Amino acid sequence: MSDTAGILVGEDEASVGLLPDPGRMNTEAKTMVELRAVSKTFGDVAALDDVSLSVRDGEFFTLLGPSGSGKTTVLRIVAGLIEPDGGEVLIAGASMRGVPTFERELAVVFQSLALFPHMSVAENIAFSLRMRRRSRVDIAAAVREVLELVQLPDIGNRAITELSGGQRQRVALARSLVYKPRLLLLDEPLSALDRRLREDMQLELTRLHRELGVTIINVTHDQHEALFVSDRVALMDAGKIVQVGHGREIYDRPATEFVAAFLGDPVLLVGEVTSVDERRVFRTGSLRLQVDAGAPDGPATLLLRPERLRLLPDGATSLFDNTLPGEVVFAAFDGTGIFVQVELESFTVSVHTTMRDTLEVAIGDRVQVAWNAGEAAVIPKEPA
Amino acid sequence: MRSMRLTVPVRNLVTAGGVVLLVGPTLVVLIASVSVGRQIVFPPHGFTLDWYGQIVRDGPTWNALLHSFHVALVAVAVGLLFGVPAAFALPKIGIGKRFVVILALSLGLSTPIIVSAFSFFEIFAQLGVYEHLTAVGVAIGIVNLPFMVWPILSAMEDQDPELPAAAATLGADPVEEFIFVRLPLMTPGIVTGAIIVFVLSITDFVISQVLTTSANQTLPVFIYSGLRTSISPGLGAASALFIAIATLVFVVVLRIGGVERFLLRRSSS
Amino acid sequence: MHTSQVAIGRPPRVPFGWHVVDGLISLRRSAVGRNVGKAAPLLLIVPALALVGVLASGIGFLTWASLHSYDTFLGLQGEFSFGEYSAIIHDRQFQTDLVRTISMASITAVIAVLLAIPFSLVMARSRRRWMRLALMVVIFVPYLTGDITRTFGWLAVLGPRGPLTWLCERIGVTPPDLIGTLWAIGLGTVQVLFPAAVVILLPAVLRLDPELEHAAGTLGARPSRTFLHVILPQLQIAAFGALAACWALAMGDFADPQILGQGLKDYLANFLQNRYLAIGNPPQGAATGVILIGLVTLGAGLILVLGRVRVRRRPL
Repeated sequence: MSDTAGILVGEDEASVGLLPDPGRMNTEAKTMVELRAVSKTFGDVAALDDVSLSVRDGEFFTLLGPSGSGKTTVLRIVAGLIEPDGGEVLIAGASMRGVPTFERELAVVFQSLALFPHMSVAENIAFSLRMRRRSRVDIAAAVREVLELVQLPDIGNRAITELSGGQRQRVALARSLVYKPRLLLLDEPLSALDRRLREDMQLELTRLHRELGVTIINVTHDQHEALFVSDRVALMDAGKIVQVGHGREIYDRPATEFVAAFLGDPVLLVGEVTSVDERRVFRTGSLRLQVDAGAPDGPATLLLRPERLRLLPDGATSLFDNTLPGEVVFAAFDGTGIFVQVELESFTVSVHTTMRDTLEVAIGDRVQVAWNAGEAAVIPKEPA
Repeated sequence: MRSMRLTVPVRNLVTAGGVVLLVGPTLVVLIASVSVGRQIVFPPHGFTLDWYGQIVRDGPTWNALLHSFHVALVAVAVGLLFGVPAAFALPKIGIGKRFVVILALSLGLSTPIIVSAFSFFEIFAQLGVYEHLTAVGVAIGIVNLPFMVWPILSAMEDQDPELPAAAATLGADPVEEFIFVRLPLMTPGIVTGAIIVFVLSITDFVISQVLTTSANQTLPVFIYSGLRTSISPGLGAASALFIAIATLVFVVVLRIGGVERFLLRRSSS
Repeated sequence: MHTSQVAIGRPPRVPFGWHVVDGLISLRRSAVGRNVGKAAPLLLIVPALALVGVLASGIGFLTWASLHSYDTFLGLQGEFSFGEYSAIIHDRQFQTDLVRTISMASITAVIAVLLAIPFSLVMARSRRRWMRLALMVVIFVPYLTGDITRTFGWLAVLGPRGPLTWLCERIGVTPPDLIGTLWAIGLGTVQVLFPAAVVILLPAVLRLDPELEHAAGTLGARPSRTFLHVILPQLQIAAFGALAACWALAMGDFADPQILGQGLKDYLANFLQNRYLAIGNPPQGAATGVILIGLVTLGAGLILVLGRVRVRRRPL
């Protein structure tokens, strides 16, 4: 499911050290969760339409998509909170048909965290162990251990209402992890947090994942989070899986326009790819742009990402495959770099550079926007 | 704001007037219950706690009080046995059905109370349970059922709807989820409902005076028969009991029932 | 370190309480099939509905009884007829009591709602917590003390040698004899209607946007105009809801006319009881009850419908 025909892998891919650890990725790794042709309808709305995916043991897998795409439905079906209308759900190879939630041996962190308000922190965490009839001594030790794991060693006796937002998040995680589940499901637990806390918690999640090696399925609409924490990402739209792959892969080589537009802030140009002389050229309107040699013929969409483009002074010689002149209509320093909008002859493009010694631009300046053929992905148009 | 300052005195005047009207009679009863003399006189002639002692000493008064407790406890039992499960199950059924059920359960409150009283009279006569105090308690319990259901529903509404699901994901069987999660959270609502029903039942007048006889009068009916002769401070003391119970109940309900939060809640638009 | 161990093992020594829980769990598993899950909520509700069914059947019996003629002398119920209905409709006493009940209910309901509006406003907007709590106590405690205590209190206040008399003597006015008049009944009724009106009005009052009133003020509206044209229209639906509820409660009032009216100013409720018990004609009492239910339903419905009518403003 991770590669679709017609997607290129650019030559600079190998130089980036972001590919996942080959040891974990070998095809003999066990599958922890598998969905086969799962569908679910609510009333006359098809929330899920023939969804199939598999999550490997120990993987951090994210379901990404806009609201209504069905990602939360997938999670709830895996958790057993919703029954699918069709298809199979397997956890660790065993069919979950007819298996109620409390027998599935998994853990869920809900968006609202769902901490029990009438219990203390320790009692909340101990709950799952009490359900498993562990002895008091075992429970106390396990609670202590997991509180250390989430770096909150002293708050066992506090009431839930006394906790700060970040502490509540960690307690919710601790509660789910204390019995060392085989599968952890996260239902957008970070979406209500402010940015700083959210980023801290994202790091926290990756740390816990590394230390425990638990399989995690995360649901989010935040693309930054998805790319940041996950091993693989599945992009969903209107109840279907659109693309599955490593973050880098779906970012640079999206399968469809939807995927391209969902991640980052690209400019998409519609046109077609043909051959001119011995080069592959993307034609749109009167524009001719060079693209990578492997791009297939036919109608396609060109993907221009702001971080991949460069600014050159007006009149400077360009050694890049594509160079377009234009006028700056907006420029601002946004903390991580300079965001510039340049009005070219036929369209406006955004450029984002983080190099400090880039040229100073002001509104009204004439500049050149340049990039190499392989830095703009080509998305072939799907046959109707 | 200047425009507001003018309305405030008018508003306060009306409020003050309302307060006097509402609370005045109650205060007078309290004063009367400790005043000396055969009849209620204002200002009172003296201070005595004798009337309270009389409640215990006087046979008919004491019996009437016991009858009232009997009726109230039966009514609370009815509310607990029938109302709690219904309140527990209501959030799980669809909104349309829920509305119909709540409407049906409020039958006792929406029917004029005297009509309800005589309806019970009719059916109790058919069933042959007329003149049993327990039957009176059941009747009052039926009428006051909404007062048991409503605080429980209100308490449950405040809870995170994902709590039962969270318990299930942590490995709790539905039975365990009910005992360890749902029931503890419902308890404040149950207690609130129980004591509201208790106080409404122990002070009930209209239904009791239709369904009881002189042999098993409850205290309000007993006071009523005394009123027809003269209004004596003795009756004041008996009534003051009800004031004490009502005040105590209200204070407790205020603390645990979240009454203030409920009445003054701002619904999100 | 990948897949985690799943701890299912149950150690030998388990506290007794857990055995009870396990017992209940196996009970649930064996007794309840998978499909009963959907029906279970209704199973829990049915007993309560059955209980209310007792009252409903009582009303049914009452209606049935009302449809028979009755011989008061012999104490025998006769054949099926509307006789008792026509008897009471033509009864002078009934007609007087009917008019009295409807007019008093209307008047007291309106007064109660009108007083409850500023009361609710103060309660909702007061910044001091003790003030809000005090108002709540004042509204609900008299209601909770019960009909007898309430009316007893009024008897004590309004009676000869009571505080009213004392006050009048101080001012130098002859004290009015209010016991047994509609004034006394009205006071008692308003006191018992008040909590209902406030409980219904509070949510609407809380939803009022103070910004609108401030805006009106800056536009030059006097407070009375603001009250009439900004606050009241927003409260319209809730106010009529409160009016309907209060009217229904007042129509069914028994204790206030019985005790404060001393049998001189009966309402329909007292008429019902008299016919049923004192005079000993249950079908007549029953018929009164049926008429009362019908009146209250119709009247409350009418008030609610009226409440939805938008008051037409004169064009500017």
